Amino acid sequence: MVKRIFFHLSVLLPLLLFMTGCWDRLEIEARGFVIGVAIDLVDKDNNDPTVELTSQFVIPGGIGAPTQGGKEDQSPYMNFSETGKSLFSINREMRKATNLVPFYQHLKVIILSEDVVKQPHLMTNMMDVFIRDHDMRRNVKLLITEGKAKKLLETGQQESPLPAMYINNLMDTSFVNNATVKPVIIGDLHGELLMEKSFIVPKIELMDEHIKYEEVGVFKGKTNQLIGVLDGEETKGLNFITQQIEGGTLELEVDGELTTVEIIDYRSNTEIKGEDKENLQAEVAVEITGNIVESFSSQTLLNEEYAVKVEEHTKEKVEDLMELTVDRVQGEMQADVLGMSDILYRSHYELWKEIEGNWEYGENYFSQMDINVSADVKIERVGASDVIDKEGEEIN
Amino acid sequence: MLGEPGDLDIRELSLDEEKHNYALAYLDGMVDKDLVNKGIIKNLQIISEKKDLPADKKELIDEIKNNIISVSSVEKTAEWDDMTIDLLGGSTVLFIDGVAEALVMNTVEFETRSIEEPESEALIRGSREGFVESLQTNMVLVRRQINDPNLRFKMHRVGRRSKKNLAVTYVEGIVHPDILKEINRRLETIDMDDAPESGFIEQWIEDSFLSPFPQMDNTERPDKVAAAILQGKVAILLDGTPYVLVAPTTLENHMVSPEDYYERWLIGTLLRVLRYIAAFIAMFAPSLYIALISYHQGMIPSELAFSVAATREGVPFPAFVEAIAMGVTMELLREAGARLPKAIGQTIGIVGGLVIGEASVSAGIVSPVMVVVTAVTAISSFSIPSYSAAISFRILRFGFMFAAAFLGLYGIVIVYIMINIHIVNLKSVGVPYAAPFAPGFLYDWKDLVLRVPVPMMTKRPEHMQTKDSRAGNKGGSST
Amino acid sequence: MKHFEYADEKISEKEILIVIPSTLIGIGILSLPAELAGYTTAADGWVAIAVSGILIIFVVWLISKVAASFPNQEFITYASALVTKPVATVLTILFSLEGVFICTYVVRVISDIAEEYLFDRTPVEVIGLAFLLTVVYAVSGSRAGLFRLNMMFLPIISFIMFLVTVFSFGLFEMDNFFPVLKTDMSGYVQGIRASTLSYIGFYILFFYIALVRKPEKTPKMAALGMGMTVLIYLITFIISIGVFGNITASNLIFPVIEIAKEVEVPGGFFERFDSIFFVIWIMAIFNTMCMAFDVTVFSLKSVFPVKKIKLIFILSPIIFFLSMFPASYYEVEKFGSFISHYGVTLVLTTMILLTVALKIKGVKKRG
Repeated sequence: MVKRIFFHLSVLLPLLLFMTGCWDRLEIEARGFVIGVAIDLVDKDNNDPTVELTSQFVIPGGIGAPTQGGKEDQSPYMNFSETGKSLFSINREMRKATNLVPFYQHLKVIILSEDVVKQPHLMTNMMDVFIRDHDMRRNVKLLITEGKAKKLLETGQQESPLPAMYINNLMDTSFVNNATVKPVIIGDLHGELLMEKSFIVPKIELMDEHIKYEEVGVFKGKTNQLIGVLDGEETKGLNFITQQIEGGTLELEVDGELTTVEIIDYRSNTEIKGEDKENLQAEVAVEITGNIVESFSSQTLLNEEYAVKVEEHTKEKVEDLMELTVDRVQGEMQADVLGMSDILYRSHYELWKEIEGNWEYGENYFSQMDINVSADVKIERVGASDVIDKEGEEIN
Repeated sequence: MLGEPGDLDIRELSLDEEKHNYALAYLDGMVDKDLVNKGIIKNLQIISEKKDLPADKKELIDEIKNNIISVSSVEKTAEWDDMTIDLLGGSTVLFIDGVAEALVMNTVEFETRSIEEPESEALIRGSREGFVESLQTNMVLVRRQINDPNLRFKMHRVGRRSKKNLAVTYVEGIVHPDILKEINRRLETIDMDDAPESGFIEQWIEDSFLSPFPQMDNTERPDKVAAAILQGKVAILLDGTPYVLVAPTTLENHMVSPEDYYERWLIGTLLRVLRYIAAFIAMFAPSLYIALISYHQGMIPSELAFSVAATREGVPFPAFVEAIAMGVTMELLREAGARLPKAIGQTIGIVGGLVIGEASVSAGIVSPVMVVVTAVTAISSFSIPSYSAAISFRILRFGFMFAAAFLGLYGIVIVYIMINIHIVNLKSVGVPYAAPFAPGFLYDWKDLVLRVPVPMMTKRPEHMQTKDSRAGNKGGSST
Repeated sequence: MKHFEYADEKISEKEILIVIPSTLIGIGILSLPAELAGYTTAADGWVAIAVSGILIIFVVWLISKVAASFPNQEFITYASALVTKPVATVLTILFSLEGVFICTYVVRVISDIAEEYLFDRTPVEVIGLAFLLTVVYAVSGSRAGLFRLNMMFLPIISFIMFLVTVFSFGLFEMDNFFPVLKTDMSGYVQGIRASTLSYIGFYILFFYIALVRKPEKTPKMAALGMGMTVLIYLITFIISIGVFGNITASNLIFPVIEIAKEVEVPGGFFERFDSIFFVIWIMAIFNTMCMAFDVTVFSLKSVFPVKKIKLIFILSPIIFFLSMFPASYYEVEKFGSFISHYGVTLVLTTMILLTVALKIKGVKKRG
């Protein structure tokens, strides 16, 4: 028995001795929570550009925790900028300059200035750090903006005093609207970078005090540089094609009157026909079911004919939007953000293997392919005005 | 032999025309005076006058034993030692002049506490009877629960000096004979002066004295004991304490309250689930707090992380010191509350808890979140039905806190694994402590976290390896 | 002291059923989806897992059949009977080497992962040592205790796996599963090779079947246990591909942990589910290492008449220092692949040797 005790001790004691390190212990209040990062270009030297990294640190005392009063005047955040050649060296500098240890696990958004992403490959290099580091979550949202990115981290809002949080929440709530795309997170981006596919990143703009969020930047694969921006209308078209819609409304003119159609059900299907690589044909078929929720027309909404008219107008509108987008990405940008390559990969694997190298570059099969769009619209409920009191609440 | 204790009464009688001299010895206060007077002295006096007593001394003593004395239990003995023990136990000894033997008559009766509601194990629904200090009464209480001819009380005497009575209680035909044999064997090895409480017995016969876990159950409730015995367990009743030991026991037994069976099964199951959650909180909450605050801040949801950081801003100590300080304070409060008279004890708990919590937060010694964690932990640990299990969980909680302070979540899981290693190697009188989890007895899982409806619990728990597997009249209820 | 006996050093065939998934599910499963995704297109890796799984189920069945035909005999005893004593001794020692290697690899990898996902600056040595000592504590206890530990942890491990699977459904993208079956032959062969290697560890059956009380049923149970393992491997592979898609999955080191990172726990109590997942997974890895360590001790004890505790105290420093030897991740990986190849070769050779010998001897007996 005594022997057993000794044995237990001999195992347990070294364990205790070795555990007296606490190498990684750092109390929560000593951590500098970085919730937003903005990257701007300082020097455009082509081989070795210099960037400015702005980190937004949370100052917890300033948020106004319920118990500790008296710190109301303190700002809840602190932006800290540092310039350098690589994010690692910048990070090191930052550690020296602040008493807080930067802690990235609560990072919410990364905002890149358009200047940065217009440089070839620079974006990849930047993102590499964020993707590889295990501290980072994969659901950090990525954004681009025109002009200085760090300006965006200074927009104070009454309801959410932390700019990065504000942007984060804005993106979470507003993509239900079909004018915007789903937020792009670095986890998704990882795949696109690896596959050298073209991709999109939402763009936000600072308008006086609030933030506009409806355009998207298009990035061309391989070089991963920004080649153009789709405006609001084109973004809608893109959403219809790539099935990113979760409701939303369409505004259109019927007989010169403004009418709003709310999309309640939506389905899109893209099929590529033709085994001939020179003559690929894609059919994008969109089915929309909607309600008329708002009309300035003097006609009664219960009119059947009127509904048919609205259906036609909607169909036209949707097709127009999609064509607009298709033209832009196929023509000017030559970047497949419509997901055509995925469809080829999935359903025409052998063909895809053959043309993979000449998809967006070289022969540029993507630009050559025919993309036909069609929409099928059904207006389900036209009598919205009768129930507007009940339904009215749900519409923004 | 006994010295001259003040409570030893020796009544000398000279009867039958002084042919026979008798001496009656008993301890005042330990015997039923009425019985001694009416059943022994009066009978001796009356009968000896009327009847011719045999002259032969041998015959005389038998005559007295068989025909004269009206006490239910009379024994003839010549051994001084036996006599003394019985005398000390409340018997009356009759010596007859010129006879080598004496009659020992069981006249024991002393003041006992009446049967009251068990205080340490209060139930909302269930019997209000609790064990008392008298072994006889306790045996009656058990017997009243189980009217089975196979219910056995095997008597032992423990304590070299105190010679306490101890009854090993079981149902023949249910209990696995090896368990019984082993318990009896261990009881016989007991060698100490006195066993003032069943805790001494427990510590003497338990399997591993290094373990933080209680390897025997103790209870004040006869219904609990009865249920346990019917599951094939053995109860150890000790004279002088209302706490009855039940062995073997498993970890799972400590999470069970009789009420789980008295209420309907859905409620019983929910209570079980609640209790397992409580056990989890009681063990892990402060250590998880330490790990999250000092190591893995990324695991706290962002907004919460910021507000926790804000509340901790003025606190000078690391989370570990904070947690230990609050933990110790909590234990102090509990201890103080238990030692003081009931009325004051409760006040201490409330006042101490409120005042210390509030003041230490405003003094910036601890953060408000820590106070919440401590309070939740305390409440959780009180909701574990077995007091001794709750204590061991409390000890382990401090172990987890140290581990968390050194290696964060990794430390916690390492210690958790170690405790599991210990548990699987631990046995309670030969029954694996981790049963029925491991070794797994799927049948017994019906009554683990899930408590199935009573009609479905037709068999006794398999891990007890009972000789008779059907749980006839009683719905397999556990301790 | 004589106890009320649970026949302690004996196990039931049910425990064989549990011990196989417990031993096999550990580190391999964390990285296998990435490796497989690299060799195959889209979700085709499942074919590789299934084919190699069926193969291994057969091997497992065969091993237990051979071992079970010598009830309650230790490996060295029945191997000596079949292929002479020196060969049996050499085989036993080779097996115990494999055990030591596995332990070494496990200690190192768990330290590395913990360093990645839980710590920053804590030295790997400390993490590894804490783990190793825990294992030593477990192995020095009773052998039945180890089987019970498997029993205790397997439900927890399955539960966390289940949680990850359920939560990851929301992240599934059906497109990731297309195209179907477009991998070329060499891709499958590579995939089958990779998944076979990750199943190493079932060799413990050679030794533990000696402990089974009634070994008649063990081949069935062992095959069933192996089947469970294959199923869990399949599930992990499919969720990895479903969530990440082939290309991303192949570029992650531990796709399964990354899934845990991606899932969001409803209610938002915890963020970074990956930390929780890994912490629970430590138990799985612990089981693997325990069994590997114990089987090593068990087999060595059959060759050298040394006390169990002594063997443990000799082996653990060796394991520890060996595990801290590789300097980089690549060296660790190389070491890992060496262990797998070594193990599979050894197991297959032994199996063929014993089966053939059994056939010949069996014929002889009859003739």
